[in-house]
Parts: sequence; structure tokens; C-alpha cells
Amino acid sequence: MLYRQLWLPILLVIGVVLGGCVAAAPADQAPASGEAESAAKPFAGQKVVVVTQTGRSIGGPVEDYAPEWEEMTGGDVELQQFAFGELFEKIITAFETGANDYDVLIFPADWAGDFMAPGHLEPISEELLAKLEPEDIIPLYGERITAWGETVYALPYDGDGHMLYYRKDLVNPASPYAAEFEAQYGYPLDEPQTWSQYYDIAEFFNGREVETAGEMAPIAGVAEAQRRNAQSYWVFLSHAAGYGKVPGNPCFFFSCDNMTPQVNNPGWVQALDDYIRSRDLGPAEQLQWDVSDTRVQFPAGAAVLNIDWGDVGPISYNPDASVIVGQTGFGVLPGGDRYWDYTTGAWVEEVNVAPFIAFGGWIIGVAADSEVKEAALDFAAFMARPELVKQLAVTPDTGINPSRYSQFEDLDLWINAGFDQAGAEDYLAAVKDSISHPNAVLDLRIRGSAEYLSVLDTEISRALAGELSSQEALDNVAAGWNEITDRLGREDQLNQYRSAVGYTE
Amino acid sequence: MAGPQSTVPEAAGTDRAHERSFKRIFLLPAVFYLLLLSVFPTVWSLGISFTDSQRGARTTSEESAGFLGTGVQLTARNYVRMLSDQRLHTAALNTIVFVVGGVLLQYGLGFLLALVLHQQFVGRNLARVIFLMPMMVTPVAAAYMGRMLFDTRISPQAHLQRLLSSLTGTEISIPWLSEGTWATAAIILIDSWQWIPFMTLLLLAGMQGIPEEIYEAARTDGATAFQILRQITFPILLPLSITAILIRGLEIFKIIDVIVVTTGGGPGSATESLTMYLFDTALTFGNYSYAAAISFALLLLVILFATLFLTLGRRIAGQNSQ
Amino acid sequence: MRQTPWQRALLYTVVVVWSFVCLFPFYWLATTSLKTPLAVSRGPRYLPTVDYQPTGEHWQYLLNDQRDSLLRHFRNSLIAATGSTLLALVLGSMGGYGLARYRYHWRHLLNWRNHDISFWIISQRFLPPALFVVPFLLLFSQLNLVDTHLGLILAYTLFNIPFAVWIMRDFFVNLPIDLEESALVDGATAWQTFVRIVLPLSTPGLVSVAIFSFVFSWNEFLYALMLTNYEAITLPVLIAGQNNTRGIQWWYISALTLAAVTPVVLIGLALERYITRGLTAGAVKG
Repeated sequence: MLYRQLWLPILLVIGVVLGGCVAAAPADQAPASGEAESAAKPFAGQKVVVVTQTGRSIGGPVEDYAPEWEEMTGGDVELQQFAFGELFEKIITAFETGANDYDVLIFPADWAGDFMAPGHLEPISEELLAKLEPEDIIPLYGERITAWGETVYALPYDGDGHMLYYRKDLVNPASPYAAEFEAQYGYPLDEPQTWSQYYDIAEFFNGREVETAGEMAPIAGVAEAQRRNAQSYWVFLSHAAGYGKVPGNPCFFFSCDNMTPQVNNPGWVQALDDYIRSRDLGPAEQLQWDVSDTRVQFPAGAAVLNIDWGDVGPISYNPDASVIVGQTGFGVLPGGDRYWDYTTGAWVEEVNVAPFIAFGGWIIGVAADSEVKEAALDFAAFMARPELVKQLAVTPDTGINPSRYSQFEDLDLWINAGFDQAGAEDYLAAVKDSISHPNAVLDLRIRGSAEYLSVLDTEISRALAGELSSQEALDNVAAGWNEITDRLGREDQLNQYRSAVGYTE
Repeated sequence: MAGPQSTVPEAAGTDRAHERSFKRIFLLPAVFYLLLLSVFPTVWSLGISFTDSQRGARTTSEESAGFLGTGVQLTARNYVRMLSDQRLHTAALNTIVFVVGGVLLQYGLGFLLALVLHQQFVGRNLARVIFLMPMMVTPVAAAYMGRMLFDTRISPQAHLQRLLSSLTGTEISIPWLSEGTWATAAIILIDSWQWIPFMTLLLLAGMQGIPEEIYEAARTDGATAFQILRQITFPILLPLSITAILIRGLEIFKIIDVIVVTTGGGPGSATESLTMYLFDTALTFGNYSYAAAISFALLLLVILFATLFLTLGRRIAGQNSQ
Repeated sequence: MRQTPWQRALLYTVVVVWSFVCLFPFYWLATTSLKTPLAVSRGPRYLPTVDYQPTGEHWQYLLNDQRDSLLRHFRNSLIAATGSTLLALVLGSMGGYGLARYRYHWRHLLNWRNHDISFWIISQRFLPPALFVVPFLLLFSQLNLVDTHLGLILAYTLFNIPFAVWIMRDFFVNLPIDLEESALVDGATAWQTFVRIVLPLSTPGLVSVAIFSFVFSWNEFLYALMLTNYEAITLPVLIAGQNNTRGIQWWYISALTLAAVTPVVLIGLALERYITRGLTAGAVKG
């Protein structure tokens, strides 16, 4: 009797544990589908789990088009989404601990160093690539961004790069403010070509009462993401590219001789000074704004100037979210008024346009440890097929931006999606000029990039908060980067960086 | 009244044959459960804190085999690194501010509200229900609410500030979330909004357990309400208060979700907490060994503090009961 | 106790002010969930139909388009929270009773006595979660527990036991011992006494533990994020996930949060009654 009582609670615990383990063990029975049916539907009964970030922007198309693929192949698609801020940690930890359950991953291209290099992804075969009209894909995406070394590990889905947005109704040579602006600054009011023009315009308009959606209200000069632990360091890098990128030299973050960080050279310091200036020319809460806030606020009429990925284009034409439909101007990021050539250690006094291909877009990979690899590859190819991504790029609630030549040629696509003719031309020109620019800067995509960029993020945030000067902050970043590089192996990291930017001695 | 620790009445059937077995029946399942699930993580973490384990620090040609590479070398480097890690020190300081600020506010207001709910008044049951509601919200969601309500453009309190500014003619604009001190305050406020009910609930439960006769006796002696509060209610509730404060303090010590949603640790490094830094170090950077070292240092510190706190609390409670 | 008019006025002021503080955020969620994006981003709007045109769009999206996903997260939260609450109640009340009524002295094991054991138990809450989730994942992936309800239940029970033991211990210590003694004299075993006499008397304590455990498990985020992939993923992960690159969709988050909070509030409120009833009974008896 006594022992029965002793066993009761213990049995309960053990029972629950064992029961759960048994229940949790993978059910290995093959689906008992008929022979004929499985011939017609090759993946009958197979479940493909797709993981990406939350929201309609990237996952929406999977929700919309998966049923079509399920119908065709008999497979079953499940979509799992996580917040952007947790997606990387979630997937990489699952990979490393062997707890991975995902078959298809739609992920940001700059995680390549952590996903592709250690072999977590399945290489993509030539045959599969050939089905996706590879000649239509902009080479930057097809050959550089989806590959690690010589091997392609992912399919292009989305194109991405930072660009400039501005209030075209206010900033143009015929605007009611043009005369006053020209009198004050000595040149006509128009799309800013350099960062100093950008700040002239910001300063001119900041706090001024202008008409937005029929109301006179004060407007801010800029809306730039400056939130810590978010996506704002990319905005800072967009500032830095114009001042720190040396034309003809692909090595921007580090020197390709010995991995010396360039982050604290005078060009970058100038960029951080600018970025701090943006803090004072934007709304008071800008320090708390992520890109996800600025792209709500800019179309709501909060500011004159904005830096963001291509997404703001379609949003600005969405009457539900935008009060400036048809009033947005699109441009390549402003250039530096001068740039710092770190190889000679001197400023070069010429305008340096260097669009920053921030982030590099969402790409589709298949987990190497997937148990339904064939089905997963097939579904990945289904989502990356040219007709589909072409359509997705113009669907307003997706975040899929152009990555194929054909997407730029078909103007009707964009007009059908709500753009006006002039707006569509302006937008497409800005995107295309950015990503095909010879001096474009690629994002940092080497092993440990998450940690490098986090150090940068923390220190620039401290500079923005006034805890440190620009130089001190960036010196800290350089020291942190050196520490990471040494910890991960300088030689290895140098080789990775060289191959990531396509450097040849 | 004595602290729960000091009185462990011996069961009546001490000398019964099976007494020893019953002792085990009650305690051992919980102890085994905790051991079973926490030994491996603890040992693993302690072990790895003396290594160089770092995601990606392998040559790329290697197959991605296993989590712990072979040929592990032991090093105390991680523990040394902590001493000079500025970011860690800032995060530790911030966390202490959150814990102290949060516990004081939550205990103070929680006690006050428990006193209120202990009174007789019309609508008391409804009030009890309302006061409890914030605790039911997912912290992540509470943080989103907070961010919405602390916004300086689109929130009602911003609207109020603008009204006040135009009424008084002076510029009133609180930079919630975009200035270090205010952001710290905002986070403490959000956490407190959510967890004051916890204190209230526990303390109210305690107050209702105090026999009415004690109060009656005090009142006959001519004690004022304040004297009763100071000399009866508070001392009697002290042991429970200590448990409640310890629990809340420990929870705030691990604060992460509220901060991630509201400030992301910014502006600058004003609101980064230890758990946030650990999350970054372990999961974002994959620097498991360093994260483990920090965790163990923290564990020791927390144990030290908790022991001090409990000893001190027990001593005060002991004095009061005499 | 009699109240002076001043005390009464003060009392009601505190009640009204604090009720407002508690409820206003919920009102704000409700009204925001009916707003269009522009009604949110262009300044505060307070009353539907008065200063903005309400839309049911977000609720419709949540309850129609996203119903499967919502129900899946919902079900998982419910299973994880209920399972770990029950387990924590059983193990916690037993452990708490042991520590309240017996003297332990582990002579061969560190020479621990009751309060060392209690401290060790509560110290399980000290472990920094951000790191320990990694060995948990390793362990769980070996045991095939990743992405299972059981995995979450086991993990949450680990976190809930320390509180359960402590709170229950404090309750049992304050229970009068006479009833147990007379039961034992009547020939009942300690176990029977515990189940038939002690537990029914401890309803308020059990309910507090149940509420805290349930609320904790329902709302836990970090372990839910890392230990589940698809099948067992819970609501907080879904809510946290609403911060995507497309912009924070306050209107949708608000609807989602209200939907997630409602059941916990209902359960909490249903249970809360037992605390007060039990407590009042205890006070009378005390």
C-alpha cells in the first residue's frame, strides 16, 4: 500500500515523459497512397515546412500560392513565421543543435556566411537553376548573392537595396518653396544628389508648416530608422557607402590586405556625424523608430526625406496607408561630396555615388537535413519561378522587390498595381540604377556578420544617444571587429571577405 | 508569527513506521524532477564556459558535425574577459536599476492596493477583478501596448502633453523611449503595470489570513490605523513579502521581452539588460562559451544576493515576531 | 472597520484611478483594433465613429483568414499551460507539504536541511534563460522532444515548480495542524491525510499557484520560441512576430492581443473567486 502511494506520483512523471517521447517519435509510416495517384502526384503525403519572417510581405505569397503547388504535386505545405528579430537565432540554433524541422527557408541573403558556409543548406543543381530563366536574373543576385564560393545554395526571390524617397510635391524646381530655397542655398531645389544637398533640404523643411493631405502641419526634415537592435544600422551604412567606398576597390568594410577594419576611417566618421545630424532633423521619436516605423510614418506625411528599401514605393501608392499617393519622388542614394581613400590615406574631392545593396534580398534555400528534400526543392523552384516573382514584385502587400530584368521592362505590371506612369518609371529607374551601379556596395556577408553588425549597431546607437563621439564610437567598433576577426581566425575571415566581395589580387 | 523557515512542525506521526517513507514521497518527486531536467543544462553550461566554443570558428571544409568539436581545450579566458567587458558592465548596472526600481514600485503600490482591496466598499469584487487583469497579458503584448501608449506622436498621453503645453505656454514633451532615463522609467512602468497585481494578490491573500481578533485587540488598546498597519499588518506580512519580493526581483532580473519590443536596449546602451546581452552573445553571436561564463558568474551573484536577502529578511522577521 | 468620509473618499479615488490605469490600455487595444492604418499613424483618435471611421477588417482577417493559425497557436498554448499547471500543482503541493511538515536532513548529501533544500529549489529560477535554452535544445533534440507539447510542458513545469513549492509551503505552514493530527490518530496514512484533509483546506493556495503557473506558461516567450518549430508553437511567439519589416501593424497586434488575453482573463477570473472565498473561510476559522 505504501509503495503504491510512493509510485503514484513517480509513475505519473515517468509516464508522462515516456508517453511523450513515444508520441514525439517521428511517425515513419509512409503514406498509403495508391500507386497511380503517386505517379501523377509525386509528393503525395509529404509535408514541406517553410520558415520565414512574419507578415504578408515575404510569407504572404507562400500562403497564396502553396495550394496551387499542393494541388499539382499532392504535397502539403506548412508555413511557420517568426519576427525578424528572432528569425536568425531561431534557425541557426535549430541547425546547430540538430533540432531543425524546416525544409524550405526564405531568409535574408546576408546570412549566407552562417547558413551556406557550414553546409546547412542543400546545393542547388544546374538543372534546377536552368528551369528558372537564369539569364533574366540580374547577375548580382544570380551569381553573387545566392552563392557561397562557386556553389549556388539558394534561389533568388526578392531584390533589395536602399534608395532615396522624397516628397516630390515639395522638392522640385517648380515647388512653391523653390525660390526661397535657391535664395538661401544658391542652387535649385530638386532631388538631392549628394549628402550635403540632402541635409540642405532637410534643414530647410524641418519644422516648417507644409500642406500634407489638405492640412497645414509642421513636417520633419528626414525620417530615418535609428532604433537600436533593429534594422537601422543599414541606414547608417547607406550614409557610409558614399564617403567610404573607394571606386574600383570592392573592399569596403575591411581592407582586403589584412582585414583591417575601415569602419573608423575619416569617411565613416563623417557618415556617422551626418547620421547624428539626421537625429536632429527628424521627429523627436526617431531614435525609437525602426525601418518598420519610418515606412509607416513617411507615407503618413511625417517627413520630406526617407531612406529605405524598395518597399516604400508600392506603400506610397497604397491609399489605405499613404496620404502622399503620387507625390513621392524616387532616387538613387545621394553620393558623398568627397570620399576617403584609405589606400592613400587622403580625401578625394569628388562626388562619389555608391548605392548600398543593403541586406541583399530574401532568398530561398532548402535545408540539407530535410527529410523531404525533393519536394522541398520542387516547392522552392515553384516559388522562385519567373512568372510568379514578376507578379509578386508589383503586389502591394508583398515585400518582394525586383530581381529580374524582365520586372523592369514590363511597365504595365506596375501601372496595373496602382502606380501612375511617371511614378512607375521614376521608381524603376531608381531601383535599377542602384542595383546595377558599378560602384554599388554589397552588404557584409561573411561568417559572424551578425556579430560584426551587432557591434556596429550598439556603438552607433551610443553615438546617437550622445554617450560617445562619432570617432570614439567607431574606434570601439574597429576594436570589436578586430576582436571578432581574431576569435574566428583572421586568415579564414580574410579569405571569406575576399571571396564575398569578389576580390582578386 | 514566524517566518515559514523557522517553524517546521514535526508531523504528529513521527514515530510511525512509515514516516521516513512518507517524507520521501512528498519531497522527492519534485526534487527528482528538478534534478532530471536541470542537471544536464547546468553541467553542459559549466563545462562549455571553460572552452572556446564559438559558432563558425571551424574551418569551413569540415562537415558541420556535432556541437562540441573534439579536442576541446580548457581555458579561463571567458571569465577574464568579463572583467573588461564594458557592455556587460553597463547591462549589469541597467538590470540592477530595473530590479530595484521595479521591486520598490511594485511592492509599494501592490501593498497599498492590497490594503484598499482589504477594506469593505461597494464594488470591491469588481475592483478585485479589474486590478488583476494586467497580469493576464502576455509580457510581449504588454510591451506593445506600452510602446503604443508611450509614443510621442500618436498616443493619448502625447496628446495630453500637447494640450498642456498650449495651455501653460511652456513646452512639455517627455521623450519617453528616446532618452535614456525616461526609457528606463518607461520600462519599469510597463513591467510594474503588469506585475503590481502579483504583489496585490499575494499580499491580499496574506492580509485575509490575519485573524480579526488581533486587530480588535489593538483597537481596544487605542491604536490608530497607521499604528496597526505599522505594528501588526506589516510585520505579519513580512515573511510573505520577502518571498514575493524575491520572486519578483528574480523575474525582473531576467527581463528581456519588454525591452526588446519597446527600446531594443537603446537609446545608446541605456536599457540593455543582462538577459538581452546574454541572448545576443549566446544565440545571435553563437559565442556559447562566453555566454555560459557570464551565466555562471551571474548565478553566483544571484545566489549570494538571495542568501543575503533571505537571511536579512528572516532576521528582521524574527525580531518582529518577538 | 468604520471609515471616516475622508477615508472613504480617498478609498474610492484610489480605486477609480487605478481601475482607469488597469483598463485604459485594454480600451486602447480595442479601439486601435478597429482603426485603419492612417487613423493610427495620423495622431490619436479616441472614439469609433466619432473621430474615426471604424473598420472590422482586422478582426475579419484574424478570425477568418488567419483562423487556422490562430487556433493552432491557441490550442498549443492551452495544452502547454494546462499540462504544466497540473504537473506543477501535483509536484509543488507535495513538495511544499513535505517541507512544511517534516524535517529533512540529508546527512550524506551536503548535510542539507529544509531551508537549504528550499533554497536550492528556488535557485532553479535563477538560471539565466537565454543561455540555458541551448542545452535544453540539445537535450530535447536527443529525446525527440523538440516541437512537442510534452517538451513545453516539461520545461514550464521546471520553471513553475519552484514557485509552487514555495507558495504552497508558506500556506501549509500556516494551516492549523490539529486536523491532520486527529486524522492520523484515526489511523489515516499521511498520504490520505494530505489528500483528504490538507488539500481541500488549501484551495486558495492551490488556486494562486494555478493562476501563476497558468499565466506564466501561457505567456512564456523565449523557450516557446526556441523549443518549438511548428506543431507546438504558442501564442506569445505569434504576437511577438507581428513586428515585421513591413511596419508594426498596431491595429492587427491589438486585435490579436485581445484575442489572446481573453481566455486567460476568463480563466483567471473564474479561479480568482475561489481564492477570496477560501481565504475568507480561512480568516473566519483562523
